[in-house]
Amino acid sequence: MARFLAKRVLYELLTLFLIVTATFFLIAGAPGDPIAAKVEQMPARAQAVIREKYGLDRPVMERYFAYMKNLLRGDFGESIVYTGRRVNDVIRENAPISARIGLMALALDLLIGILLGLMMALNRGKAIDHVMRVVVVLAICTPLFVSAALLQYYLAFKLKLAPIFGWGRPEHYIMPVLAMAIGGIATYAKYMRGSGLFVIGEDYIITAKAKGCDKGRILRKHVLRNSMIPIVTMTGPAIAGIFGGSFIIEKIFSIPGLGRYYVKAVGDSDYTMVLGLTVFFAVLYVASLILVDILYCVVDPRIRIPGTER
Amino acid sequence: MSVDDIVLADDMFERVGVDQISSEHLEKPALTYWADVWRRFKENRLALFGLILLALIVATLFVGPALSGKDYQHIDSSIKNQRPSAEHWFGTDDMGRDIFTRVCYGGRASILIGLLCTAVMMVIGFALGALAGLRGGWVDNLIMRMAEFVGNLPYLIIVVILTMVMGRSLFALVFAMSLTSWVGTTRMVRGQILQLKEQDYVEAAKALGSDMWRIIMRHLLPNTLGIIMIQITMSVPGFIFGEAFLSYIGLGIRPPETSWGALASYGQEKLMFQPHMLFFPSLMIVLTTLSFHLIGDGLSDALDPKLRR
Amino acid sequence: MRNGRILSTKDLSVSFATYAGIVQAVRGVDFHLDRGETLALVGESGCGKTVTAKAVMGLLPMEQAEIGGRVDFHGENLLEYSEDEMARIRGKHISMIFQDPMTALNPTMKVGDQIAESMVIHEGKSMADARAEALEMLELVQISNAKERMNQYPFELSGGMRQRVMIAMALACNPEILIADEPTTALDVTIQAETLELIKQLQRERDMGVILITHDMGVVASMSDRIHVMYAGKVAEEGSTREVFYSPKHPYTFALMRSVPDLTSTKDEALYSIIGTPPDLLNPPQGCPFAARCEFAMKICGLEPPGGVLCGETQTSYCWLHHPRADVAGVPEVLLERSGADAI
Repeated sequence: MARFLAKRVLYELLTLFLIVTATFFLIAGAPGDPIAAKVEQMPARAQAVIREKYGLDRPVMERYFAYMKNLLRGDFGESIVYTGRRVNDVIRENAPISARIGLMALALDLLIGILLGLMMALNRGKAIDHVMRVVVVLAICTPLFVSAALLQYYLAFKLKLAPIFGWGRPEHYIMPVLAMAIGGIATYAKYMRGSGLFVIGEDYIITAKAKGCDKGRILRKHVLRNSMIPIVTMTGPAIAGIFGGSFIIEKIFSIPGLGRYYVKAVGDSDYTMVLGLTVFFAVLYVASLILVDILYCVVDPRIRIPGTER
Repeated sequence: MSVDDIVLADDMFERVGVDQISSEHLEKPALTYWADVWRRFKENRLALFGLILLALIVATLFVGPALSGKDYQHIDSSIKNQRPSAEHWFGTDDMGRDIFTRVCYGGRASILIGLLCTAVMMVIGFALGALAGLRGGWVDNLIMRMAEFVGNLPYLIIVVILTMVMGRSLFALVFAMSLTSWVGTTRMVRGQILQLKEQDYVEAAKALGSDMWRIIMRHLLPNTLGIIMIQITMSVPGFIFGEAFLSYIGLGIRPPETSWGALASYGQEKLMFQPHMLFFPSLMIVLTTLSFHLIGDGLSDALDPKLRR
Repeated sequence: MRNGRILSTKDLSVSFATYAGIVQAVRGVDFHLDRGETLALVGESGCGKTVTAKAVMGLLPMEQAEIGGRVDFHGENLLEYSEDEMARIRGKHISMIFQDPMTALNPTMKVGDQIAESMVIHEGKSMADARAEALEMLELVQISNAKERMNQYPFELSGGMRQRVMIAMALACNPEILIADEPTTALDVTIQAETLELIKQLQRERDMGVILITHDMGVVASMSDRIHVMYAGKVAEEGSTREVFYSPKHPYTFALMRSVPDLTSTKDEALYSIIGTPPDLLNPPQGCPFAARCEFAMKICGLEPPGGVLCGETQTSYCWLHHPRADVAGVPEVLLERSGADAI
């Protein structure tokens, strides 16, 4: 198992490195002058000073190595649009907020999604199954900003169950977390239903019954673990989805999170900020990939034993 | 039941022997593969509904503006923010533009983008998959390593960066979204080719001197057609969503052109006061995605060999 | 024949509601099992032997299955038991092992835990105690390195070992009856004999009744005391193994025996196989189910199902050929000979 993991980790770190490099060169190669808007009004000498500050007077490769060196020291750069605003500060201030919402949404996704899917599998063909299937399909077919907006309109605006937007008090968590969790719940439920149905039809379930296991025991000890294995593989993409979701959710509910900041930076053409935040996201993303690999090893014993890779 | 209870005529005990006809109980004659698939698909009412729905949507997109007679760009502040009415079927937006017509035009863009991206994805995926499968060796290895790497990349970040850097032309959008999407198709095509290579008839044809590549190509397409169709039904809505997302964060299609995503994201900001601006484009996205979804589900059920009767 | 009847069925029938209609898988089957003896249920795929066993165990899907008749276990009708009551019987009094040990074992649960599970359920043991006993069971079924094997997963074991684990699992709580559904079909030929030997040995040690379900005549010959030959949901012939093997009294049994290729034969003969296919159980034939494929069939065979006729000491055949007015021209001697009290 250790060897398997080590290989994966190395691979994913390489991926990270390549992403950062590619992003850097892409942004560096973007047409136009990154600080054009800023220095429009300034005399030539002031322009030169600013250009030097951001290293724009130096060749690309030099800038690249300088950037990588800084990165390894933990410095993600400085905003080109808002002088003095360091990417690290932005991350420090806004990331925890996004993280909290994202993790809570993920927890909801897993908890409710898995249980819902299992319930649907156990009640296959009955009314509740059909109803939930329709709900799940509709949820999957609705883009996030639509479902979030609808939720906001009906639950917060009309029914006044939670604040419409804003941040600062515990109640402000309700809407964004809920909105973010919907898509994930539906997706997990759908796949858990399929996985659950598959496992229920397997021979070892009959064996368990033949041993005298009652329904509850069969569910807990035999169905649950085996149906969850394929679900684990979905957690990686789910985390990626949380990133994207944060862009939208934070905009709709006015949450001062990293996603909203990212969108703003893109809109401002704040290249260094975009680069810095992208690198940060990439790090998180790769970390989550590694986490999923570890999770997979834990859940599926077939992976752990060398020589029995699937 | 005792033997003695029945009154038996003598001729009952005449030897009759094996009954050739009923000893073999024949099943219904098997249909050809595609006829059977189509039959099963048709029987699935939901799938059929999806197909019809999609056809209706597409028809509306093309015929709609002609029917409504409005221009999607025509600005008229005097009639702005109207609810749906007989005159403006979906109402008007905050600049007095007819929403129905805009939804039709936007739909054309959205679906076009979805189809284009899917097409690019298929072409790249097929080409790479075929190359990997047929050539084997280091070519195969290289392509598979690339696929693994690309598959691991954070799709969102790449799309955002590319669009930001390349501008918001149609080309840039399609390029950014399809760039990393080929991985699944490549793996699938390669897998099919490898499977085909193992088939005996390919070996036989090779022994007879036929060009192996031509044989495989001839057999590849029919075998993969089903899976390709399912992939298409899953990809197109995915790309529509992708474009909608980009529109939402300001990177989508550029005005004056519009898409469902652009309309919906614009409408979302006005939700509290003009809900119809969000409602109709969103409805179209949901219905279109739903129809693709149902068709895709129906296809995978129809193609599943285990369910074949 | 030993005393101590532990199981008997009367007119057991099972039908399934399917999309295509109602399939009558089992149509009136009677059998009994005594302590310490092995009964074989023999027949080709689809004849209803597995369904019969599952009906006894209550393992059929209740939403689709209709079960009729009686299953007597120590005087109680198992078919009237609630699900909870059946759960107490399964694994404790009657156990079952299945054909494919790879799919029949939970892939993510350690082998030792799977064996221990029944003891935890039925004997209220703690997991630790149950595992200790599971270790003993593993040694009992002759698995080497039992201590290590306890903590391994099914995929780490060979096919033969997995089947032994299944046996250990089934016998953990010392049941009175073991139902073995094609226990050796999925195993290599070389392992088959060992596995059967093991079952026989354990049966002797525990004075257990065994119901052996198989389509393999060789297995029947070496293991069973009595046989029930099943065809299309009904019993065609029943009797002691000796009687049925050496002196089949039903054309189907006769044809089955003939189908087994004789490895020692030097003759240049075509292999014998029975013409046709088993009947459709959605619309089972009116009369004897084998009539359409039987070379000795008479008109009445297609019209009325035959009753059972005692042809030997314990041998009963369900065939019209034993009727006094049957047309027996060309029918092999062995099918018609009677022995014992009813000899004509």
